[in-house]
Amino acid sequence: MTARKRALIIGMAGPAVQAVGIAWQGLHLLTGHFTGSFDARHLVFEPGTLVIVVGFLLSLVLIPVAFEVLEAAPEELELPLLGAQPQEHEGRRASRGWSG
Amino acid sequence: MPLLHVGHYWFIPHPDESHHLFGAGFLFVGIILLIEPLAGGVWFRNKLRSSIWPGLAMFMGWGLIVVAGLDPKDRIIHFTTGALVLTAGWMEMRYRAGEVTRFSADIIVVPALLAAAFEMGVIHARGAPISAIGHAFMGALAAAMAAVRVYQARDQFSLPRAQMTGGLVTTLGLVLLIFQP
Repeated sequence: MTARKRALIIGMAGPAVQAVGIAWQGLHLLTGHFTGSFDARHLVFEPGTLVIVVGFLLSLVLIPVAFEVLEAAPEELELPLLGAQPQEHEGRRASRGWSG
Repeated sequence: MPLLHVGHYWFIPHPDESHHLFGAGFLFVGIILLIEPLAGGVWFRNKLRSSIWPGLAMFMGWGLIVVAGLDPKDRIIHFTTGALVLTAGWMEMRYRAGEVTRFSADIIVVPALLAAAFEMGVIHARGAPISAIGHAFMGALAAAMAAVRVYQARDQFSLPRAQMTGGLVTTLGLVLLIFQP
């Protein structure tokens, strides 16, 4: 998969989830609360509202990642080998997940 | 049944509200886990970003321990599962920091997932049919995560394998949000 395609998927994940949340909440308001009672607490904990919040938080995290992916070299997009490696018992460091 | 010690304070979520909150939490984590493999090594450049998944797992484990304190029902299972999940999140964080091997992390993570599967799918699979079936299904998802964890360890460079856990966690979140078992 090209870096551009990866960046597009990563960057659009948050807004896509928000859109699902807005559609979900809108449909619920139309069908479930059109003539019934409604309060702020109920709204805050409704699934649709929470999905909108999740989408917003995902956008905060993932949009910067999308820009980094767009600028990364192809080898940087490969899955890294995480965890301590056996060579480290002899004092040599293998590649780690975190840099620095 | 009122919660122990805190009664009916406005800031304590009701049981159905807790399910929605946990569902939202799992949805967030699930999508993060789906995206991580796509970003590859770029994701792990940032320590804070790399800690999102294990950090939230630790938070959920802590949350279960709090539930054990507040809810008089099923205290032992809530506490033990919460402690296991908290420890598993910590081991995963250490694994991502390169401090422990994958095997050392999985020694804790896999049993934690199986304990969560038992707690959700067996202990909580009771009451109304929709609730029992929903909890049993969520237990099955947690057991599948344990299996996927082992499967993924066999080829840590496979993109589809790396995304399987994210798919299962996302499904778990959606089940809690949609069906509210």
